[in-house]
Amino acid sequence: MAAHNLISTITVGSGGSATIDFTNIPQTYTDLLVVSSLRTDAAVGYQTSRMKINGSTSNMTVKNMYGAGGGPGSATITTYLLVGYITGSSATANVFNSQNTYIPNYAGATYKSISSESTANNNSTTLYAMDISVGLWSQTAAITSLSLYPESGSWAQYSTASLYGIKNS
Amino acid sequence: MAATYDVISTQTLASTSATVTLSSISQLYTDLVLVTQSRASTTGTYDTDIGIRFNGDTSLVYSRTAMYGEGSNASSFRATGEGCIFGAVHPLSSGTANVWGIANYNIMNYSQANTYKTVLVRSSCNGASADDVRALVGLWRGTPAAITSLSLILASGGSFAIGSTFTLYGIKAA
Repeated sequence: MAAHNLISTITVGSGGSATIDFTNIPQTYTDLLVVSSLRTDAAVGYQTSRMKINGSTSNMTVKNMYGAGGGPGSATITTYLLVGYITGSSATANVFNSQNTYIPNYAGATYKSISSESTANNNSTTLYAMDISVGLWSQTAAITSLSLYPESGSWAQYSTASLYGIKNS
Repeated sequence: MAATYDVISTQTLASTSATVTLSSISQLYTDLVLVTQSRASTTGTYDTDIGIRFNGDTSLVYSRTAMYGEGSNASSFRATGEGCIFGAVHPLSSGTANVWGIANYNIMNYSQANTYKTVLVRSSCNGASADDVRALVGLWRGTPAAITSLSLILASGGSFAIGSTFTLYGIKAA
């Protein structure tokens, strides 16, 4: 029995895109997994990758743990849902991040926990970051849409994201 | 998509339980992934560790190296000679309602009978009074054997709450 099922995959075309949107998410799975390879066209080495749930950035709390070549750090974020770090246009050309976001029990009536891990590596001794984070969306509504957006700028061409539904039965 | 990622078993607790055991694990896969979403029924405001042990081995033959992020500081911790691999985390019963801890375990080459077993764990819970994000590597260095069962216990000695879910997936490399 296949546990992972592809719901949708999106690749950004020429000209970029401000968001990558998954809408009308089926409610027939147990968990969701978003696997991404992303880059922003903003003129930065790296920045944050963010997610809206059901169009909302409210009622979010994130705790993360990150490393950027020095001592590791941890932060609390309450103004947006952090799901990773991404490379920007100042990073080495053609370098995209790797990012996994796991959302268990997305169709249930409890608050939603969001677990993410990402790396925005670069062919350099600077401009790289890795991150593990946990987000909490303090809402009991079922998740019907997800939207990925960069801290600034737009998703660069060839950025991709795939949404999988995971069944535990 | 090729079916390389299969459900082996899943449990949702209908009553509290001090131990959750997944047994008679199929030996047909290459690697295992365990996904849990849980709370403790034990009274308390903060969070508590979840331990994992293999094949019922309670000997002091487990070790771990972990990184923790608590929202302002990150730290690392190492322990050896333990009776299980503690590290995953979830809220105690007085933690914020509706908040569940989640954990993802990767157990590679679990059916190999001649090697010690390594497990990678990412775990987190996030709430007003219980918050942590963790990554750790654990080692079981008991007598080498294929993993045929795994058990989860609580560091606090309490029980998993009703509704906690535990799903074991098998991954085939070929």
